[in-house]
Amino acid sequence: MPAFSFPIRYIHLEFLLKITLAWQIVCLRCQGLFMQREREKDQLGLGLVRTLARRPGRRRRMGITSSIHIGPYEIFYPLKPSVSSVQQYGQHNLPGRLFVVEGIDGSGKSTQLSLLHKWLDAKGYGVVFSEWNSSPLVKDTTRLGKKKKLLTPATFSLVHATDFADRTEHSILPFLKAGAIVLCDRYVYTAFARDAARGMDGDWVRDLYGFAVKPTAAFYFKVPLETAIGRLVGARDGFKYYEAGLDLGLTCDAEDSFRLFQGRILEEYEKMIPEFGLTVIDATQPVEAQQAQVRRIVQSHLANAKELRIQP
Amino acid sequence: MRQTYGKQLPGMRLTDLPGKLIVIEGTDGAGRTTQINLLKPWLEELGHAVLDTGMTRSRLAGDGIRRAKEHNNLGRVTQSLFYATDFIDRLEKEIVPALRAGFIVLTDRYIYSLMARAIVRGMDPSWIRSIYGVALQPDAVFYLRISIDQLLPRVVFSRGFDYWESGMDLFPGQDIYEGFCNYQATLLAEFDRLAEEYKFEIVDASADAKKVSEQLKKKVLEIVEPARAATPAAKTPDALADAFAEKVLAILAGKNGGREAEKPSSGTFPPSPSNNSARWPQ
Repeated sequence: MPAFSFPIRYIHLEFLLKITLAWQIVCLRCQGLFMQREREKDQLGLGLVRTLARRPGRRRRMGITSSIHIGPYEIFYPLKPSVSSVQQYGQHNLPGRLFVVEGIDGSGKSTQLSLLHKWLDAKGYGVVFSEWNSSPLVKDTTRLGKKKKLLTPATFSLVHATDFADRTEHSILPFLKAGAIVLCDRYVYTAFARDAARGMDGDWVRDLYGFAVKPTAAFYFKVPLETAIGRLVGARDGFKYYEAGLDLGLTCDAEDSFRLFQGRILEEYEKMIPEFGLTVIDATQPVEAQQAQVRRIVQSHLANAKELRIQP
Repeated sequence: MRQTYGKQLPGMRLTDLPGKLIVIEGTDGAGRTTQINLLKPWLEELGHAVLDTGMTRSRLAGDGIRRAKEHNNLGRVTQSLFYATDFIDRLEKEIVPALRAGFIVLTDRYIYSLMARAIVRGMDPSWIRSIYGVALQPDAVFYLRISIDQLLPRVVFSRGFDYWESGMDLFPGQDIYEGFCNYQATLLAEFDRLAEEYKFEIVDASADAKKVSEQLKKKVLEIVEPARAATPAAKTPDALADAFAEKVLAILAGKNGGREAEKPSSGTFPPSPSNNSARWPQ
């Protein structure tokens, strides 16, 4: 019969091969399934919630009132926010460090930050820089709003918060988790100051930015208004519409409006120094002296920082 | 004088807003758009100016949101805030001016959908409530309620599954069908909680569109023209048949129920719709 005419050792070999392949497929599948489950859990932040919310007493303390079953998981309500509030991140244990600079236009904060960036680069740290109002996802909307003058104080505030949220989710938080040093040119304090100067409720804006990570250190470059204007008039060819607060209709003259609006912002900054513990740098000093002061403070926070050396 | 849920936006006067703000809420596929498309011409026929508005229709952020949703890098916080931007822009630029001019504003979803979506995505409920605290309290919220089993065929056989409506950003690696069921079930649970908190008027949306529309029109009329709502509705054959069926049912309900039930109707003639429903047999 044809079936027996086939040499028996070939049949064995084929059989063994099939068994081995099947076993490998089973192993890979299991591994894949396991990894997928872990990934899903991670995505939902469930690992933590599940273990924390197992005991009823603890549930009550966490404010969990009910739960719902989704597939193999039990999700507790209300969920813990995936990005915690400022207060919660105050004592964050993320391996990275976050340094931010604040101050009015013309205070020299950007110059100082770029010098700090170069220094940290040279020391071999993994450094990431994020600028105010630079999210690629929200940029078009902001530009449209500014160009067509569609923005009111409320939407101005929200557009910037959206931009900041995108940067927090994509360029600040992941890098802090990875142990990098993140440098921000302007941070939530800019929003607090500007929005308050435009008449928004201070508490509302602070709530709005509740998802922000608290910086390791926030430097406020303090400078008198006239010094800042002197630097700007020489360097730039004019004052921008929203930066000068022209949308508020305080006055028609750009320089006067800038003076009035930035004056209000300065007042807001002053109030925030004790509220958020901003590190004040006297920005009328020579550039070198300011930089030395900044580097000394940054150095003191780098003791246990994980160094991400890009080049060996 | 209107009220907001929390803080007030600068430059927004809450006095002198004679229009009516009516919200139609419901999950994806509950038939909100269909109902608004039926309500708007009807209200206009009655002589009211109507503004209809809905999510992502703002001039400022509408396109931005649509573009952002085309890619897969829209984070959860960013998404929540982008929608908030869109909402506040419409609130300030469309809803409030229309109310000031005496329009009836029909809005396809309001802050509740946005809150439910954000909460389901793990945002802190108190955070999202604080942001939307600046929203005006509407005159009525009609919640088109539908169960997941009734929702499925509608979605499947009309436009198919949508990535975001199936919560695929929340449940990656799942089948889109499972994603849809899980996501919409979670949303419905959250909606039910909101319905209690914000006192939604629940409308059963599982009936066919015409019936739902009749129900909605009745309720909208009570808000828009309380005087006309009290007079009997036009005597269409449908309305007469309904009234007859009601009487028969009332008679069947109890031995003496027939007479008892007839009395108040003749006493408070013309009967208002709410009276009628109260006389239904228990």
